[in-house]
Amino acid sequence: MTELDYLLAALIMAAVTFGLRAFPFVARGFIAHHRRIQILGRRLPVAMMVLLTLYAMGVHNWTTPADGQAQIVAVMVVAVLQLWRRQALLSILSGTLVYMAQMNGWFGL
Amino acid sequence: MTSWRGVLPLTLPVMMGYLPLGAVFGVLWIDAGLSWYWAPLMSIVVYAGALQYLAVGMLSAGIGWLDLAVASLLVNFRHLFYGLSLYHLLPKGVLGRPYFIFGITDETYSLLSAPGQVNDSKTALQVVLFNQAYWVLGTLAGMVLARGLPPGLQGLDFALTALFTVLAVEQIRARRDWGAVLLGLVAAAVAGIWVSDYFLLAASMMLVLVLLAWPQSQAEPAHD
Repeated sequence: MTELDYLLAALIMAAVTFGLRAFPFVARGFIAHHRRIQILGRRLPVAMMVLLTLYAMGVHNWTTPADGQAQIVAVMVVAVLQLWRRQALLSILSGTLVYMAQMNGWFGL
Repeated sequence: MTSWRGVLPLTLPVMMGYLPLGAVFGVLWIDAGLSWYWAPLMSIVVYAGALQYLAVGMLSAGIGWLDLAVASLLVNFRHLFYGLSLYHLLPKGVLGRPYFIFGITDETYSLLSAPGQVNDSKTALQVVLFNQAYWVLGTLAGMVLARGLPPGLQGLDFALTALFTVLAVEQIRARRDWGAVLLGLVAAAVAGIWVSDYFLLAASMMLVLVLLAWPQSQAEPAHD
């Protein structure tokens, strides 16, 4: 990564993100008149977060389910904690700790 | 209007989240061997939590610009509608206005859109500024922490998976849209089996196309 690469990466991410955040302010009428866009806005984030979770788990690189055993266990810890306590930080830190314990062989895991 | 001192307690819940989550970003960035000073620069220029986490893996793997742009679009797509409920708080100033729009993150949105919390654009702008300050400070703290980590430590990057899991659980809780959940699983399976090299791109395009083509249940005619 050269300096220019970092700069380009930052500008791409910033421009796309700003564009998305600015869109409703410049296109109120467009959104109000397109039901399919509204439906997309309501349903896509649900499907997308499920997809991104699987992507971050690396499912596309697994050849057998055993490859993802540590990931699956830790994701279940996060999901259960989040459903139960609803504290994002607690869920994230606990899940990461469970995953790291498995990866580094702590507590005999 | 709330004074600067009043904004602090208002944004306290966000601070509790952004300091440690920003720190995780700082740790991951340094841990991946990326240029250190670009960590705070990303938190200042981009300011998008999940995308910044994702970018650590993408940049250290040398992924292409188009992939990065598509990932930005998909990860932050949910922001497309946040502004609709914040129109009354939009500042008038030439600098204030774009900065306010720039700073509408998930947490800032949930704070500003909650009824009765913030009622004027000046306070809203201060909330945005405070929240980003927490995020940048957290990033800097994480960079320092990363220096003290034992070498060979594995699995820190699971924080990204955990963050997406939390966001998924909250999306499902809010919408209870099991059809969309199933669609996400099916798209992942299809893309994972047949086009695993272009997994995220292929699967997300499937999602957008299927949802756009989905038959509308309401009698109201479509405008497109």
